This record gives sequence, structure tokens and C-alpha cells, in this order.
Amino acid sequence: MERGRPGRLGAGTAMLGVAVLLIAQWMILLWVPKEATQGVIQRLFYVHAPAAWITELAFGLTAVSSAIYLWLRDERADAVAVTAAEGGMFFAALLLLAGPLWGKVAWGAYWSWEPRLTLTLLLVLIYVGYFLVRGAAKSPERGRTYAAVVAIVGALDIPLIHMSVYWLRSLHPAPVVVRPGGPTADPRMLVTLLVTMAAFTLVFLGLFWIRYSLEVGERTWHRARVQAKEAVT
Amino acid sequence: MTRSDLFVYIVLAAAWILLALWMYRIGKKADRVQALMEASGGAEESARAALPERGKTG
Repeated sequence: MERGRPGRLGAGTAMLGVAVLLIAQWMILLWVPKEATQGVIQRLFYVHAPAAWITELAFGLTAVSSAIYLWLRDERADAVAVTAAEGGMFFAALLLLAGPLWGKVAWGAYWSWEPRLTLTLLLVLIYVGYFLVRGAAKSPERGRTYAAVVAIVGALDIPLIHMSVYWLRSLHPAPVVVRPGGPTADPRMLVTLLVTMAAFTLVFLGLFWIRYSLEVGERTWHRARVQAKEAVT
Repeated sequence: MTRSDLFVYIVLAAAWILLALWMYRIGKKADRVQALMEASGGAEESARAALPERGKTG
């Protein structure tokens, strides 16, 4: 398919993200100092935290655009929602892989049913439900509506995840960057984290844009086909 | 190589694999959209083009 301007913009952003990700990988493996207490395993932080950021960004975007869809019934909002949810699932998978491996070394167990981990797993399961509901409904429109409601309910979990380390007794460490009083991490650690976050964000936005353009293109094609058929008959 | 080293490599590799998987999925969607447009070819166009004719012939 001939790639339009949105496709080129998305591909360019994603490629820039991949380039930054290569730099981030070099920083994680070779440049950033080893953390004094945890040692090498702490390097997972530079993947784990950005993966959590993108997961929450993606599912938050899904919820906001789902609310817009319910309000305006604009299919573009639903296309944003489903695209963001799909991207969010990939980053959530990375989050749920990095977390337990880090936990195994730091806590001696792959999993603990402590508040933040449990709420994060719940968030991911709710968004698995988002896709199941979409596919299971009798008509696509109903599927979109039900899924939008699931997305909004699911997103209520996001602030709970963030605040759970303050409000509840939690094994999970409190944030070291987004916290009252400013970041506490070593400057090189902070730079590595920010570079990885930038890389993940660029990759997500680039791929999101390509996927969204395809989704809109496909829906436009279907709509044109239906209209053409109706016009002929 | 320690277990910590191994876990770091696993997660970094997983990041690339998951990225590739999403790209692959997007690529498949692009192929599907392209196939839809090619398969229908000018179906919609010809359907639309038929409209004035229908109008003329009543």
C-alpha cells in the first residue's frame, strides 16, 4: 500500500525511537553505574519503569478516547482507543516479565500478592477483557460500546496503582523520580531512565500512529463499500 | 554469567521481541488493508459510477 503522510510520520517517529532505544540499551548495559545495594539486577529498572509508564499512558489514552466515543459516537475515537489498548498490551507484557524477574532476585519470589503487583495484574486482565468484550458482542457497534465502558472502568485502577505504595502496605519500592521532593536517583541513572522513557514513548507514538492510520483506512473502506452497495440497491 | 545478568539480557531481548511482534501485527494489518483495497479494486468506484446511469435511465 502506498504510504501516506501519516504513515511516513509514524514510521519516522518509530525509527527515531528504535535508534534512541539502541542508545538506551548501550547505556543500560555499559554506561550506567551498578547500583550499590541490588547490583546488576537493578538495571531492569530502566526497562521496567518505562514499560509501566507506556502501559499506563496507553490504557489511559484508551479510557479517555473511549469516553469520547461514548459521548460523540465518533469512530475515530474508538480507533484511537483500540490502537492504544493494543500497544498497551505489548508494553504490559514487558512490564509483567521484568517485574517478576527483578522480584525473584530482590525478594526471593517471582510474585507476591502485594497491592501494586495485584492491581497491575488486574489492570492487564481488565484490558484483556476489553478485547474479549469487543469480539464477543453481537454487533461491532455494541462491542465498541461495551469495550469503551470496560476501558473506563479499568482506567480507574491506574491512580490506585500509583498511590498504592503510599496508601497501602507494599513490598514494591516507592517511586524515585516522580515523588514529592524531586528525584533521588544518581544523575546517570536518571539520564538512562529518561532516555529509555523517551525511546519507548517515541516507538509507541510512531507505531500507534501507523496502526491508527490503518484502522481508520480500513473503516473508511468498509463504510464506503456499504454506502456504495446501498446506493446501487 | 550470574542469574542477574541473565535476567537483564532476557528482559532486553524481550523488549525487542515484543516490539517486533507489534510491528509484525501492524504489518499484517497493512497487508490486509491493502488486499481489501486491491480485491475490491474499482468495485465501489464502478458502483458509484453506475449511479448517474441509473438516474438517467430511470
